[in-house]
Amino acid sequence: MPRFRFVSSLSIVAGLALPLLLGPGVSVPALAGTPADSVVASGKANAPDPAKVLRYAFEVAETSFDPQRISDVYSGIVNNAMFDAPLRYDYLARPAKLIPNTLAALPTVSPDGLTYTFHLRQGIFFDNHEVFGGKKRELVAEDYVYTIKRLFDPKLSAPLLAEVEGYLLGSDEYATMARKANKLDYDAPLAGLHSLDRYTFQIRLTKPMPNFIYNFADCRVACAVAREVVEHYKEDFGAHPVGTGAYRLAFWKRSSKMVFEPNPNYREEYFQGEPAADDPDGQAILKRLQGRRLPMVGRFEVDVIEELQPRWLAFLNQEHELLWRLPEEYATQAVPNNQLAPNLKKRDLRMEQVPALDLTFMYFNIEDPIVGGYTPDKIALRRAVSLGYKTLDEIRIIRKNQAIPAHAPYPPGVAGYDPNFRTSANEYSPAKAKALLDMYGYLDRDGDGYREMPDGSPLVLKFNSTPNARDKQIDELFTRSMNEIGLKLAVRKAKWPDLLKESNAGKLMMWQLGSSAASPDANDWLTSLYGPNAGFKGNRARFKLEAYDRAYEKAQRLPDSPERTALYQEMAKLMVAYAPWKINTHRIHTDMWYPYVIGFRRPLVQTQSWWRFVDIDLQARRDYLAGK
Amino acid sequence: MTSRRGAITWPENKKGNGVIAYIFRRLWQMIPTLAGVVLLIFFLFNWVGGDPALVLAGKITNPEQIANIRRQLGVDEPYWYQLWVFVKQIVTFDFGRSWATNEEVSHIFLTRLGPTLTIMLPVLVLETVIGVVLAIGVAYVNGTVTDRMIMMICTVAMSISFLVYIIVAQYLFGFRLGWFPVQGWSESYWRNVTTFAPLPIMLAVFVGLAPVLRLYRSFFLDEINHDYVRTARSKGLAEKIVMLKHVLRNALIPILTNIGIALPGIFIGSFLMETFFSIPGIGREILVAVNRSDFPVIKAATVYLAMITMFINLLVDVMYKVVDPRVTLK
Repeated sequence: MPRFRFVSSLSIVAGLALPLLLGPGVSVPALAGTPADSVVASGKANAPDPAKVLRYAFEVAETSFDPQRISDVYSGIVNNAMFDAPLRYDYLARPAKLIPNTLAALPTVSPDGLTYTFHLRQGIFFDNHEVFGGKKRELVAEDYVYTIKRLFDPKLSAPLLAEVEGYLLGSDEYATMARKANKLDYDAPLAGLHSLDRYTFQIRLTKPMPNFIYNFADCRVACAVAREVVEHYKEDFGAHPVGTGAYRLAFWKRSSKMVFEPNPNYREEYFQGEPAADDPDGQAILKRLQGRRLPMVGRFEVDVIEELQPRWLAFLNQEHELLWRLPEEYATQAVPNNQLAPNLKKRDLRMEQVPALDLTFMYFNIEDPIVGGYTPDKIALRRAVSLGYKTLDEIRIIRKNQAIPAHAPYPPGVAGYDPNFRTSANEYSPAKAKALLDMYGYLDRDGDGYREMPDGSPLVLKFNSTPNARDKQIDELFTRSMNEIGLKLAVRKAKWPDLLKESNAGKLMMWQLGSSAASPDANDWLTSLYGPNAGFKGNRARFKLEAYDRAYEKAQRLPDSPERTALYQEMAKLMVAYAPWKINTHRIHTDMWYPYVIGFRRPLVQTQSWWRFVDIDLQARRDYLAGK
Repeated sequence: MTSRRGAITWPENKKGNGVIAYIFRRLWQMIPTLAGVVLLIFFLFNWVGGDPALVLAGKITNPEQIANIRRQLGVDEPYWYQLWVFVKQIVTFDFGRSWATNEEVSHIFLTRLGPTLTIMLPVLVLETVIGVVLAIGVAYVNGTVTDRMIMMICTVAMSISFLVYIIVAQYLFGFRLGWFPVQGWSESYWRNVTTFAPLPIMLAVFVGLAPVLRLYRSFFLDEINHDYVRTARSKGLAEKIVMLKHVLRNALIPILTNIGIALPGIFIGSFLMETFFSIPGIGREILVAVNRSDFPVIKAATVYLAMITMFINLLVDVMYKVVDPRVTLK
């Protein structure tokens, strides 16, 4: 613990607040049910050392512990620690590799690619709860069937319903029936999802789609919940998580603090991984931890700290062992030139920077009369905007070098990404931009310093953004960039939901967005330029190009392969050529930790569980604190 | 005589009945005030607040999902029905569940009240006690170098943003000197009181003291210049008695008014302090709710604050009579 020499007199004065009045409101213990003694006793034999505590902070508050109710990253992280999806990504493998989690093996796929069969490992148990009547409750196939059906429950308004609706056989009818009745009959059959026996369930798709399998590694879709517990707590289930995961909730002060302890019923599992041969960090972690019983840390404490300074100081003050994502505002002092600062190096801190599986981009509405269309003059205008924007300035000044320029509409690390594949998407060339505009008749006819449309009508680019500090900086940079090539830019500020509504209706000319991956596949972004997805389904640019759609549909039917990568690259080139998007950056995540935290590695997909794979070296910690 | 606020005039010869009648009249007057607050909130949320279904739906969705969310939230109902539901919520004190977290709104406020009061109650008490003691002393030495120096320091202190104090104090006392943790809150009440609360309390008292000291000093100076003080002094009363018995007692009415104004704030907390020091209080919760467009929480907070303000105003008005018997009842 850090050195707190607090002022005792102040403490006494602070005690003026009445304990009787305040006591009940101060903490809300939310232990997951009443443990059955016999079960706990058997579990405790392999319990991790409670002295191994790992504390860190979230920058955004959790929303719920109901896996199917959430869509945010932070709730996803904690839910992933408490619940189990059938699949997960290998902790050490880069690029990502799907492996069984609660399954005995990867699912078997029928020759037509439509049917997937999942075989569960036996002997996986939920955490204890009174509703189980003092018996150990085993995870069975029907739990996954129930869990996925929950997505269709209109009362739940599951944010990830769109991931399965229309793809599972009979799911359209099932969703319509539920919406019409405003409730879901869980016992009604869903043609594309059923259990075959106690440990086997099967899904059937409406069309072959190899990427669909990623949903079974996404906790928000497929983390198993027990029907009895959900029905016991009803609306309050999100505050009483009971899962099969490595940890369970021990204390919870919503939006403030969460404490997790090992699940006494957690299955026998040992550390293993498959780091690439040219991945020395991964190899080192494997060497250090291979064969260790999981989980290894005895207690996780998560503080929710929205502000940057306390999050940064709490880490430096050793109130936290790990800093999850260094705030960009501190990058210049903590990682100047993306190297650990000398004063932090002296403290022997560890640092890792990984490009996030995300993309920041600006879309043009292809149906807009000014910037939209597929004719050469319209494409030239969009290309000129793209060539004139100073992406590198955005990275250097606004993002403090915590981003890299994007060369394709999908980030490094995803299936289908080829580091040798380069496009001109992020080329900065005001000279070329001006030449393009001149060539297609976008000239300054009235001498006001701004160009007009080829027919002489006014040309004003309408750029939309939200009223926050980051967007304001981008507005200024964008305005400056466009002015330098003679284009007039009008910035319109509006709240996020209003912009979303207008974007859905196709009313925005241009809007900059960021998009993170739910799965480690380029398809996550490429789907947002697929014609039939125009509007509500994510294709905000309303880009409809037959060649692109054809390539997309073909790639959809293929597993990860050189043939599919070639199709992805073809789509990326079409995106660059027609410029419905101006792709900008992939953000870099910088994490730091003390040397006694062993085995930390940021998962490629942010919501994936990493808690059970890290350890605290208590002796190293004692030595560190003693200054040895 | 009427009070400084001029709002209370009670019948002189029917003391008990007069007070009760006054309280009932004030309670009755609260209804149209509250109705105004309700209509204002309802108007703002429905016509300015945007569509909550879009906020909750996320980036990729479809019209059916959005329609379903609207249905679950009840925002697809006619306006008159939504207003009726809102009124029912106020009457029953049941504001439903948070749209963002699904937690019962009443539970949110009950669990956040403790941490907020743990910080704000000592702040109010300390600020008032220290403010009154210092103000009476400074007023006593009015016009001296000490008085001018203290006033100058107060003016400078007041011109610096609270945020700056927080950032500097957190860095200095939390990080550099290590006297307190940088931030945090625990399961243990006593650990909170002894470890996590002192720095925010100390900071809030320090920052709040400058304006309070200036204000209370002016109240005391107002009283010191009255004829009755000169009369008391000419009678040969000791300065201690003049200041503590006569001046202090008469200055208490405006001080009480000021406390009355500040009192509702202790239930809302300081969102800046709560956010920077990770205190799970009401202020921070409201901030989170605003960021998430969590209307049930925002609505409840606004209504609760309006009601608390009205009741505390009534309480303060009644307290005038207790503090100063010269407040006449007519």
